[in-house]
Amino acid sequence: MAWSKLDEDRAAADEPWSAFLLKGLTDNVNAYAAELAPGFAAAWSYQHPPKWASLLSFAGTTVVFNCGRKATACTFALNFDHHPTLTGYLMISHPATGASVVEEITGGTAVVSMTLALPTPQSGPQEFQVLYKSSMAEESLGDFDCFTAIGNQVAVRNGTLNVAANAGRQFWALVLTSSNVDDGQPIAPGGFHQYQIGRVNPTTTAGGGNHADGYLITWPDVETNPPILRSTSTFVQQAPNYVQGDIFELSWISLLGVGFKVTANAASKVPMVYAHDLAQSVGGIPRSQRLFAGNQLIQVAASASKDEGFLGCIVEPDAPLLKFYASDENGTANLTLRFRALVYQPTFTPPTCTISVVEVLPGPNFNPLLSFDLGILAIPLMRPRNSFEQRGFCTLAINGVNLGADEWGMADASFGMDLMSPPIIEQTLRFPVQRVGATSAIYAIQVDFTSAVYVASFYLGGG
Amino acid sequence: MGFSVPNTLPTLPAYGLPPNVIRASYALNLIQTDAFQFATSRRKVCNLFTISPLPAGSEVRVAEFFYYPLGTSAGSLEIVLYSEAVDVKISSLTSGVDVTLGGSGAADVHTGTLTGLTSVPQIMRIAVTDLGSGYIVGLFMYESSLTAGELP
Repeated sequence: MAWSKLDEDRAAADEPWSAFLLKGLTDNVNAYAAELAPGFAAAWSYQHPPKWASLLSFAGTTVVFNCGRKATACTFALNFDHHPTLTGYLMISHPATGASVVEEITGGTAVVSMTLALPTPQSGPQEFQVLYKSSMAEESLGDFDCFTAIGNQVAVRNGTLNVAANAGRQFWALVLTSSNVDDGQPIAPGGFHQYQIGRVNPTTTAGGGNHADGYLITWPDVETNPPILRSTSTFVQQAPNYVQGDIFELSWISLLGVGFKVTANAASKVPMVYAHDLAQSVGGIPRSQRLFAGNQLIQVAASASKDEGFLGCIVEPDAPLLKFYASDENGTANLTLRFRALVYQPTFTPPTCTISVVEVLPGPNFNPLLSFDLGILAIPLMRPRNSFEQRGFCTLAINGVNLGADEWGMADASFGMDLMSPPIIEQTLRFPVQRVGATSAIYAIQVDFTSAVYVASFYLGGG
Repeated sequence: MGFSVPNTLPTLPAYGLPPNVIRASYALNLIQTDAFQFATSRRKVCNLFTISPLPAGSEVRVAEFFYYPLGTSAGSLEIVLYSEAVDVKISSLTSGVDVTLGGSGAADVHTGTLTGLTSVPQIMRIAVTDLGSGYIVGLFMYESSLTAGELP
């Protein structure tokens, strides 16, 4: 049933005006869900493309899209750069219903379209996870003698792979072989001995004395019971005090953009203004406005990704998260801001958060419109770890968040469990807007935290 | 009866709908409301975050994503750019059309329209050319509202 103009051409000769009108309007409104199916895109600058690998479980990012009314299926179009030869796996999941779909991605693939069926109809903003899992190459790149493990750092020597030439961020796997160092026993069958390498740090004392040649930064920590590697800072190259670790390449993905469209809706019923809801229409506010949130299917921002090139983003004090909102109609913007955030350093105090809206005037000058103090946010710490941050040549890696200006963590992604653990913080922003072309049509929305947080999920749009 | 798309959402008169009677003025109001809802319920398509500093080079792509047009789309996208000293080229690789906004002036708002889009999913690309310490505050795209003549 398509939307149609209601004019005399559609009326039967003797059809009562009221009957014609009511039927026509009913047909139209019942077609809205399909005719105006929401479709949006999440995009971020990829001067430094978000690029990650994940050996042990699916990892990725969260995007929030507005499903409109009663969506039962939606299609995602992903474009990305992928490992040229290795296979990987993409998953789209909707944690609220547990729905998910997995697609195998062959090497060199750049585009995939995935349809996610929703077991129950979903309306309004919904969070979806875009996750990726790597496969491991069959042929080893080389091997190292692994001496000791402190947290997620493995000290190595005698590599058959040129570490110095390949130092830095890597998408490799470390597979420990041979024996358990402390008791000389083989690693137990099924024992955990595969680790993802996020970074390789060579030392300046390669090949000399008792120093390690380099350090592999792994996920998860190489600390097991019984220990496979010594937890000591003394690097003694003395057989059999080391375990050989073979290095394998992992497949990786570099996500460029996510397109979204609702492709099926549950049959809708005559809603809103046409349902003779006097309680609403007497007030002069047709209920149908709620569907389109200010007469537009607004979605301003779908994800927290920023131009630094990783998924999700770290927001520090005084750092604006979003600077742009434009209007094409005079009126009142009625936006919903939703986000999930995590504290990523145990030493950070729980932040307080202020949300403000300003009008950007030529100059540019900023005219404050609104400000909300959300108070102290009870947001959780990112997945606990036992290791501690080290500066200098070693990087603390927490689920892929980079913690320094120029150093990278395990990858650019977060695990699904972490993405969904914080509560959703929501605030309605209602402010007058002027159409584009007037003296002011640009608005900035700033989310200001008193201490740094990792924003995993972000939505700005109609509720 | 003439047909038009009102500029603003009509406000329904109070007490216009007793159970079995629809007054003529109210009927016209409902039709206008219906047309307004459909014609103006266009979608925001993309919001690109701040890019500063800009990458060096000519027409460096900075974002790429899919855009699904509505079946009833008029085939055009309105673009609002807030930037300084940068040319921003927005193109559809699928339809082979592009538009360039921005320029060498001081920080300002630039608006434009990308037309000629087909109704199949579009691969959109944003590329920038720095004209000298330029930056982008934001890039914003939304579907054009329909006119009375474009309504299905």
